[in-house]
Amino acid sequence: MIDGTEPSYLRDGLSLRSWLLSTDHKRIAILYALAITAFFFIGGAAATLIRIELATPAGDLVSDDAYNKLFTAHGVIMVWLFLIPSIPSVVGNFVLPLMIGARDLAFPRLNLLSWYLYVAGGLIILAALATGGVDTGWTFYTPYTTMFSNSSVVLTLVGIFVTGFSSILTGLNFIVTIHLLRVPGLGWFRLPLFVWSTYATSLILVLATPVLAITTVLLVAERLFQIGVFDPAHGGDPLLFQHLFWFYSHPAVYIMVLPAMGVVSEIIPCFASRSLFGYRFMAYAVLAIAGVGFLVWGHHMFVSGQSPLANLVFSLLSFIVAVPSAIKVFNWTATLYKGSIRFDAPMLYALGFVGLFTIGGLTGLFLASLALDVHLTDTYFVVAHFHYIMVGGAVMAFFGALHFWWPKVTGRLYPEGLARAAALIVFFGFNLTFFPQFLLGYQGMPRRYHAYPPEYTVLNVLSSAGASILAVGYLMPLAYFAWSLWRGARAADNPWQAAGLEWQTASPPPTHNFDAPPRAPEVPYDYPPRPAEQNA
Amino acid sequence: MSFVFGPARRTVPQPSVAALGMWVFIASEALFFGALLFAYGVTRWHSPAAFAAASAKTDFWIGTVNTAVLLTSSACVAMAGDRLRHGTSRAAELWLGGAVLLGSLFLALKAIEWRSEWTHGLFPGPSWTLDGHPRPAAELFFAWYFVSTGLHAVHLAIGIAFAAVLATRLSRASERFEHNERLHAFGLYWHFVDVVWIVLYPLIYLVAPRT
Repeated sequence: MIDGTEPSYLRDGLSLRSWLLSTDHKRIAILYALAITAFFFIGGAAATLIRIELATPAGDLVSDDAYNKLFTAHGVIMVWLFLIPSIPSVVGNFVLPLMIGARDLAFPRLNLLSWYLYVAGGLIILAALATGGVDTGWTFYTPYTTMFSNSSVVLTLVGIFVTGFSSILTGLNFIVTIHLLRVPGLGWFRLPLFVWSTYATSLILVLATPVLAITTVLLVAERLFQIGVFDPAHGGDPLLFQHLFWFYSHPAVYIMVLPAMGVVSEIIPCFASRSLFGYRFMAYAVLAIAGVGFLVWGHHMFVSGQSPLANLVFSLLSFIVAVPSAIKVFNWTATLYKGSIRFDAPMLYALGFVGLFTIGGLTGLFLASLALDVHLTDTYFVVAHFHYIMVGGAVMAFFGALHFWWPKVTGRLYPEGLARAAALIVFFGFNLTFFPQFLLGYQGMPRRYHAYPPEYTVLNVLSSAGASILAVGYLMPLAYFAWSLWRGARAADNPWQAAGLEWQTASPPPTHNFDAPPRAPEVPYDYPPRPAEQNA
Repeated sequence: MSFVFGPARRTVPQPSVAALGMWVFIASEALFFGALLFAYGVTRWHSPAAFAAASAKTDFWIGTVNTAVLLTSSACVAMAGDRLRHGTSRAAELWLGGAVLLGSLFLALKAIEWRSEWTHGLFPGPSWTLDGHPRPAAELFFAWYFVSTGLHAVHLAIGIAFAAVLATRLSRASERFEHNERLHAFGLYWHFVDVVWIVLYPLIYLVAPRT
């Protein structure tokens, strides 16, 4: 498969054991990539069935009960088993130590343990699906979850609990690594934005995930023993669950999108051959999003009956979190200004991210507006909004990252033409899938129903058609990436003329990462001056 | 492979890696228990009288003795670190052994307390009563009590195992410095578990004025 004379991490032991017991961050990244890809396609299969069901107004493919289980499976798998670990655990694991010139993460064995916990949690969740599935929705709202649902709620929650430990340990590992293992001379304000955003993400992983953990413990105790903490008959409070859940699950959105922002901040300067505009503000914006992101969870509960004052404060804070997000969008755009732009596949994904994230972010402001939210809550508008962030944002960036670092990871080039075609297909298919859902939501179609009135048919058919195009776009990279492992052209150490430290070592890197200690750059994103300037 | 710079070539000595890792973990744990305390706050705010009535049923003396036991164990861990810094690993082992014994004593007393609560019918379940009257919010207090003391006990048991392993390794060590730092990281964990108890203690035992 991958050969060559250079000793690389891929050739350092070829047995299955040498992979499954490896503490090399690069191999663990590959292990994550394989597991995550499997879960992505399982979650995708559930989405496919959902879209087929919704292609006609009548609920004719699956029963309403099976439909509940389908969207729950889709949500649980995509959130906890794909999106949250996707960029941090795959891309972060591989490139973070390289970017800071480190030999490995601070705790290599803990890193391997994180993978096993992730896989164990994933298998428990799959077991829950196999033994009847869950019908509560990925949000597990009480009292339905604790008193009424007759499905594998407990097993799913155990799986999420175990996966959460994996998240916490990964975040801990990244934080310590970034603090202590930077190559001498690499100060904080010389770090690539991907490192900054991974750092901010890790803070959220470490500080928000434990709240989800204790919430699942309480939920399991409530379901098994009726302890009453979420039950008003015992003096408990069902809304307490929503507060605890969203205290984790809103920051979890930033766990998904901050690393994506980091990826885009690497790709855009490289393919525009321009230094990143407003570097320091980009770093501050990442921290601001992570920080303010902890204070906006109540915007998921505007119609839950919380006090008007709380609604007002959460609405205001939700608007404030848009400010650093806007700084990022403007600065990416300003980076493009007068750049010499190459439209390679990673850049297409990155540009797609900027556009789709902007739509996702702005529609978030619609939902943060109290009066509008009353109309739009629990409609397809919400579904479209968060898919623009999670799929249009996080998944686009994940694919961009896969293409950008593929030569570094495998030492091979992927077929550029096909990759560009796939990127365009994904962009087109995504918009066709989810833009009609904004209109459906605006017209009042509620989410989580397997049947709908016939007047919503046209937009739903468009959405289902878009989903099939999107599926093609997602399957194409699977094929050509596999092909490139055997047949792809050999990659140079730095095929994109990119500036990060990870490009100073071989492709693929040796197990010990660098033969000689990499030079810390004087400035981050040290891209050559653009041709126009040279001519002048 | 001309030049390999491994873990030795870090910008700071490796040991502070363990300590920083533990601090980050403690931050995470603080949020874990923090959410539990938040749930306590909300439910107690809903039913203050029931919480006071339920708290009066807890065993004040076992709780208080256990607090003293755990605080003393923390002193042992601090002494172990001090002895190791002075190069007397034998003394450090003994102090760690003391922490293991006191930690185990805490768990033993806790088990006795749980058993007595079980036999007095204070463990939540169907047809639960307080002095013969159904009192759901007081039952909720005990549910919270068993969840939080149970989670605390799990943390303490992990700490005891951690201490026991560390104690057997201190004298074996050729790299005393590294063990010193490991002991330091362990100490952070132990003291944190202690602090959790210090917060739980008044919330469980001191809610109602006692005569």
